[in-house]
Amino acid sequence: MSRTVIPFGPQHPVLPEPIHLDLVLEDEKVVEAIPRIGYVHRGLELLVQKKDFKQYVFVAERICGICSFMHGMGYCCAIENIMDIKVPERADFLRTLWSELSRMHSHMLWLGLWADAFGFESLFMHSWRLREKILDIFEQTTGGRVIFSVCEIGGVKKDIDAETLKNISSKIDEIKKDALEFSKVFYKDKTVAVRTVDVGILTKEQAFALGAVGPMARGSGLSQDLRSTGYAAYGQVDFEPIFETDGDCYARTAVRIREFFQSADIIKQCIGKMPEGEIRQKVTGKPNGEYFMRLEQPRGEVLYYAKANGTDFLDRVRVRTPTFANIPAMLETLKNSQLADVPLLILTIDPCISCTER
Amino acid sequence: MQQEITVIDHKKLLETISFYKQKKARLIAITASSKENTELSYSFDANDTSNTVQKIVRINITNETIDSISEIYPYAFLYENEIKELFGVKIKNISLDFDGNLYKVSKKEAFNPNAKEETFKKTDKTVSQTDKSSKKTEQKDNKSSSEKPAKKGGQKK
Repeated sequence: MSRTVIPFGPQHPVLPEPIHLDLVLEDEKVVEAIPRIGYVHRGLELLVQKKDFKQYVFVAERICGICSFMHGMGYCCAIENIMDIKVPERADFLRTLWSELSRMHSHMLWLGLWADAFGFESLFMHSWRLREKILDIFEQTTGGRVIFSVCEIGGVKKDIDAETLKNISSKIDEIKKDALEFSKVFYKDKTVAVRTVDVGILTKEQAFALGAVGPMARGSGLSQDLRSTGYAAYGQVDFEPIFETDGDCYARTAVRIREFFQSADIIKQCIGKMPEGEIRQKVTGKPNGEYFMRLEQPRGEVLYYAKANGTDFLDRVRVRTPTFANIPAMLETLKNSQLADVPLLILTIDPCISCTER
Repeated sequence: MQQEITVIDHKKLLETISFYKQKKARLIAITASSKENTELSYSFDANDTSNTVQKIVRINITNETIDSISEIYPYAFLYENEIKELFGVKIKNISLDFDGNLYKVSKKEAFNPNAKEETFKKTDKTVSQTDKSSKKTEQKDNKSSSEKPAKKGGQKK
């Protein structure tokens, strides 16, 4: 059968950011996809040689607008490990709380985009309406809604008083109640099932062989979740990695919905167990050494590598983002898919090109 | 999380990486760092959440050509293309080689402090696959095209 090559992107209605794929088709079936990234590469890693190690926190936070907090935290943790800084316990709990709020907001944003991609606009609106409530909590606790710069080397800049924590707890209950109602649509609606069940199957073996991370890996039955290693306050809260075994788009959606509720529970635990005390440790000296820090972002594992030389300026910062790691797995799901499913299969990894083009 | 860094000779790279593959370790990333020499760090995870030790295999190179590990870890092709393009490391036999066209950056080897000031010349040839890997892809395609996944129908509970 003759083959046709269709260019997909870099500008496409389903893509908020530029990525290009050469889709090799036989009739309507995709037989191969060749990716092209780098349209908006920003060279942020190189900026570490021009901003001192404390200023670079602000750069790291601007790698992504969705998981901004966790980028800042990843960088701070890498430097703290190099400098052997023990972060106060309360700061660890606050970091965990903001991380889980970020996960809730990221998953809800994705669920909305996902619904929109298969034409379910009212579901998109409900998801984003709920996401606004989470952004309100960010604003209430940090003053920012997208990038809030509360993480710093040695701890956090802002504390949350007991009254606000109580208030957050009741808001989380309201959000959970709302989310429970409309998550039934994702689980049970026929139109959702038709577009997601058995679409873009990635087996457990393939997910492992292709280095998939985050919900992409967990949707295929791999229970890898960096939070289990116990960084920040994760060692002091009860949770188990969530995974599904079907490996299709439906399974990845289910993982994200279940993780949304899990994050709400972790936040409630953090509020309940929040210790009293300082929120930052004074940082003296300059970093000298290197460290590979990994943590679990909403899209999956991120790697922060920092190499310092005892001066104010680091030699190297390297960020391996989850989207970058999930591209090979996405290409695998595209093979043998229908052309009409391509936008869904790209969205299924929750792509963040901004992260990838750090 | 603890980390163990092992520095090896670049000639032993494939042998060492194969050892990790046999142990079913997951390649987390390949990280390059360049000053006088270029340092490549291959990070591994045993894919066991109780194992909190990261293993890092490191090679130091100046101008040598190194082997691609994409035959062992297929998804390494993206890391290798990135390193090749931003640091100017010579890597041979990458399964999907973008020949310097992965990123649309204006400066060649932008992350290599020893690179000459040179801007990119775009080539027509953008992506090349080694013969071996394209044959493999073709065989796999033929095989998988006959195995259509059965629709489950209905809804999940």
